[in-house]
Amino acid sequence: MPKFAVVERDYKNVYEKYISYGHLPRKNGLGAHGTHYDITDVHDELVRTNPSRTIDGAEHLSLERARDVANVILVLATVTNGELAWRSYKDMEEKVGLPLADLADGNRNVRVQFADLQAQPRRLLNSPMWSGLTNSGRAYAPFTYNRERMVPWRTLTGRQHLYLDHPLYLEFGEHVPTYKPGPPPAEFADLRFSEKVGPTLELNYLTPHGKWHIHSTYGENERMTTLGRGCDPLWMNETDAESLDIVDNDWVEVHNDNGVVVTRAVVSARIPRGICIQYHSPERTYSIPKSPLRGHKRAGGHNSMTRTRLKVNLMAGGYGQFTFHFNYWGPTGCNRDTQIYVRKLPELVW
Amino acid sequence: MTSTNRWIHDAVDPKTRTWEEFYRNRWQFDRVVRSTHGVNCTGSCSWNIHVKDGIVTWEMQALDYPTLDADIPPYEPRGCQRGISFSWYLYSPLRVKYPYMRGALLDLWRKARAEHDDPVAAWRSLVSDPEKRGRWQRARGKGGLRRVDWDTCLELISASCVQTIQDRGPDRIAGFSPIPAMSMISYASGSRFLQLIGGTSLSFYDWYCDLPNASPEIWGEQTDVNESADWFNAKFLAVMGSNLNMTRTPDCHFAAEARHNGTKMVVFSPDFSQVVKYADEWIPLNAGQDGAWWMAVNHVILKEFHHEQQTAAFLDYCRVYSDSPFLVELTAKDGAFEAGQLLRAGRLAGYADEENGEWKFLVCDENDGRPKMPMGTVGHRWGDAKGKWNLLPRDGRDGSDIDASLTFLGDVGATARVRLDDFAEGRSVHRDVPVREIELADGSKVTVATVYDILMAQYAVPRDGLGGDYPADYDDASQSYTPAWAERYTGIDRKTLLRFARQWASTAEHTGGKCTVIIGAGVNHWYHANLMYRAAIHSMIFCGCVGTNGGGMAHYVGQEKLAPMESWSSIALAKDWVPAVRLQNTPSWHYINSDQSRYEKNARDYHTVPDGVTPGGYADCHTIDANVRAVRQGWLPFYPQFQKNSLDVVAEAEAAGATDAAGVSKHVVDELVARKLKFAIEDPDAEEAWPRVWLIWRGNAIMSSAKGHEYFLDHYLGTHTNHISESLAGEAVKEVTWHEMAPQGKLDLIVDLNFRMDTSALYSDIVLPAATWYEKDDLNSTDMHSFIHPLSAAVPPCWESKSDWDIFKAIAKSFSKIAAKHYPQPVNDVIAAPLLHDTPAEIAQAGL
Repeated sequence: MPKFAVVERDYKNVYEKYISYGHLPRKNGLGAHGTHYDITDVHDELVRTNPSRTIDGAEHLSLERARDVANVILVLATVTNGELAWRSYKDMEEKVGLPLADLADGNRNVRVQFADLQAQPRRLLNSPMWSGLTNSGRAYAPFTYNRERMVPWRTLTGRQHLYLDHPLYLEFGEHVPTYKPGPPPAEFADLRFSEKVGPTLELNYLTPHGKWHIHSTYGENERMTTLGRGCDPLWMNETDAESLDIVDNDWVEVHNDNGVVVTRAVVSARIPRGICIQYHSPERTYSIPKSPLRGHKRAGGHNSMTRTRLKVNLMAGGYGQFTFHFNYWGPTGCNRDTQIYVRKLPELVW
Repeated sequence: MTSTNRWIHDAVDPKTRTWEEFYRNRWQFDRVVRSTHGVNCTGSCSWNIHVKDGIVTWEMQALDYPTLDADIPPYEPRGCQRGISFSWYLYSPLRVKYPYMRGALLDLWRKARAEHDDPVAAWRSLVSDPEKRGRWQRARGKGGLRRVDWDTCLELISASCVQTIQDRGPDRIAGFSPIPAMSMISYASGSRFLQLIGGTSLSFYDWYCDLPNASPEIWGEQTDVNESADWFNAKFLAVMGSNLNMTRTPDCHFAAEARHNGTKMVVFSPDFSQVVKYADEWIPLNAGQDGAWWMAVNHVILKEFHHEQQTAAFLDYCRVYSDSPFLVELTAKDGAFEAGQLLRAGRLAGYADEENGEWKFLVCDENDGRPKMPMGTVGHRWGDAKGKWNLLPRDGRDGSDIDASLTFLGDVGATARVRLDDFAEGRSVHRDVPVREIELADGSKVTVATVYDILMAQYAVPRDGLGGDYPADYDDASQSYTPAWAERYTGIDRKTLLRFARQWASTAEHTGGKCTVIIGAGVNHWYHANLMYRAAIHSMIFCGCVGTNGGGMAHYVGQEKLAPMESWSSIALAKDWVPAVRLQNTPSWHYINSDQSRYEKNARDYHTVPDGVTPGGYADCHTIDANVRAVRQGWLPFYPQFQKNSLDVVAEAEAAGATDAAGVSKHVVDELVARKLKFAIEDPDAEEAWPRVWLIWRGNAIMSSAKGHEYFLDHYLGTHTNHISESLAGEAVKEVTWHEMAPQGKLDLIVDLNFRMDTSALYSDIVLPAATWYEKDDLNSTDMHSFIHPLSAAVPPCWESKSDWDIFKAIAKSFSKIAAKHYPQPVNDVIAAPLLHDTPAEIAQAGL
């Protein structure tokens, strides 16, 4: 059963609360990843020195301007306020039973604010929230804190887990490391309803990150639409292409049950047979022709080829490291096992 | 001088070089402001933005990174060809300059507002009329956006939020914004607003498939990796699924510099990718077969460096820093043994009254063979007795030293034949494992083996005295995980694998573990990625590489590292005001709400599981059924949480006599148990359970991030789609109410904050002009380096744009004004939250 909490919604005061820093952190302290530290004095000092707002007679830090928000974040975080890092280590010492606060000794008088960052990049301080140690210019490597200071990992045994004994993992045969074949294309069923029309190949469809965009940004700027092929092309093997009578820069129609993509082919010996690549990610704002196979509706982008499947044992919960945390644990939106049909586009229709 | 005269003048008197004026003008500036790019590229590069006459003219890499230490090359300059072209966007035709609204909606809204004084009533009149609602839904993605004023947009958005809260519940308002670390305050804007009103924040890292599940599986850690400078400390770099110069452009120089410094670098890639040019060796593994490679590498490492050579550093490391010595209970089944759960300390007489004894575990002491209970386990973490959550090799009860046994091989000679799965061949194999018997408090005995010995059997390492299906030698392809076996999957010959495995382990042995795997989406995006990663990580645990500079699993997919997490999350999740939050794992949300679950049957159709799994159990059901059970068990969140409005649920509980939170919780639990109240996930296609309002900011939720984009168009948006799938799940689903007809167009309203007119903007109902990365103050951090960067307003937001922070501030203001009439007094809301990591809920459920 989930846990239930009752909270008050004060809808008419949402704006007031949005622009003011509430007092719960002052009362309860802050922390993350199992750490905890008190901020009362630093908070109250900030109220005196930084913009503040009065609500029901109590002073609250103002969050009206983004810059004020930045300073509240920086001054109340351990990686940018050495005194708070020291406190957080002190708290961890009690839990762990070993000396740790010396890791912050040299940083106690370091405090970074927004204007400091604008002047020059600042390095993050040691903090028990992160597992790497960076004293004296040491490069950050994870788990050096655990290994050198004997602080457990946040797992069932506190050690690195080679064996995963959650009942769900036992059920799925993943309690031990193992090799599982990828989902078989027929059963994965991207092509249950799609038909081959004319010479067609079935390929595995990959969408890696490319050189000329970051996701869908930059790929559509003026330089790229001028210097590139004016679209997000499909990379395919030369022998595969030849078998479909496709030469470089021909238009191709890529389809499966989930949707359709129409774009140009880049024919390259770099790509192994059986695989094709469309770099992440096209935009519908440019170079999307219509698809003859789908009633001449406009085609789509790389995610027109995908459909979500979740891996069930990654849902395990309530058990050591198998316990939910936002963006931390749970099934993922995997997409690399996608299968498609590709054929030469019979006619280009915009 | 006319321009013609000037040209002649230049030709006649070239020494004055007046043509250079054009060039100089182009690169003049009044001031320089530091900013960066919030694009989830992981770069987090410090840039100087040059401004002239209030116009951003160009950007250049900043050159003032502090040096880490004299032995490591400097970070600067950071930046790539993409970032240096960003200033184009500010004044480009793609820039969203004004607020826009879908014309079909705007016309209806103006008419409704003329008929209703109250904007909430006006919005209700539209969404309760299917014909009207369909009009703007069908127009989505078909153009027709019209410029409109800010106030109209803010009023409509606020009215839709208040109406949804009243009629459906606040958790029907959802927001998606990716990866906060790239612009933390901008992320915080929408999520703060959502959490103040009780809306749902959607996750991103798992949805993007950037989350490497093996990391929480093995370390209890989302992701924690080496900064790129630490590559220089590695002596062996194995690069797979990551194309460094292509996608880690500002960091790649550390790999080149490491090679100049003598580091060996091997690149695994099925194609001749760009990073191959840096490699000493290119191993063109078959795509998606990385797991097979590492399983066989581990076979070799365990056989040669552990079993035969007994490499002390490796064995000591595994004994102290891994679960290798812990005892696993073996149970007899069908004439063989099955490996089960870890043996709980509380079941032994000596530890029977131990606090959290079910969550403390056992090893055997090498000296006297007795079971002992090491400190540092999760039971020590969440016990009342503090100070015993550490890795010192001592017993948690009497403090005595422990010298834990890794293996029982040879000491008493007892073995058990254990059944293991060979999924590649779809068969069971049986291998002897050294075991002991341990007496429990009730006098019965259990058979146990160490994790280490079970792994030795699973990796098929033949050892004297152990019979069963072990391979004869490396050339025996009939048993899994030999180099000969791996050939079949990887396409790489066994000699190459043997050479790699030996070099890998001996480098670790001679350098104290300085072997690093640089890995990325090329591996992480497969369905079984957790197994591939896990095998690679095992190689580094076996060789003592984790937790040292120059060693470990360097996974770079997404800019997930938000360094100042503690204070940021208090603001971003409004925890400074509201102690509980609605945080949703997006993969489940989209799989279910966009009805992608309807297009498949039993997950066992494609996920290979052991023979003989429980029929209808987790390993033999439709994925949506598993997800429903996971929500009921408190494993995963799901919002909308109930079929009913959560505000009404509290009101009902109070009417039934509940006077406090405990009373409300009890009422809710009773109603759920009595099946009078249903979780929304139990009937997600019922109109009452649909999400209604979707706020999108800082991301491209409907294209780049929309796995199953065409199903979004169909079931969320209610517009044209190109999928041709038919619902298949009807007979397979047991836990959810099945609707023959799938809903189309679940969402009433989609709002997109954007500075680019991208695909998400094209499909939204309202597009709000957002400030670019050179027009707002914000913070940015990454795991590629250990610095924190500002984004700064080099110029004010152009045209009518505003920063995300200011936009949600404006929405909050407008919302509060409208809400004052409908909610003059505070109301109570009940939040259903899953069992959470880093809380005592880690010891909530010992069994299913």
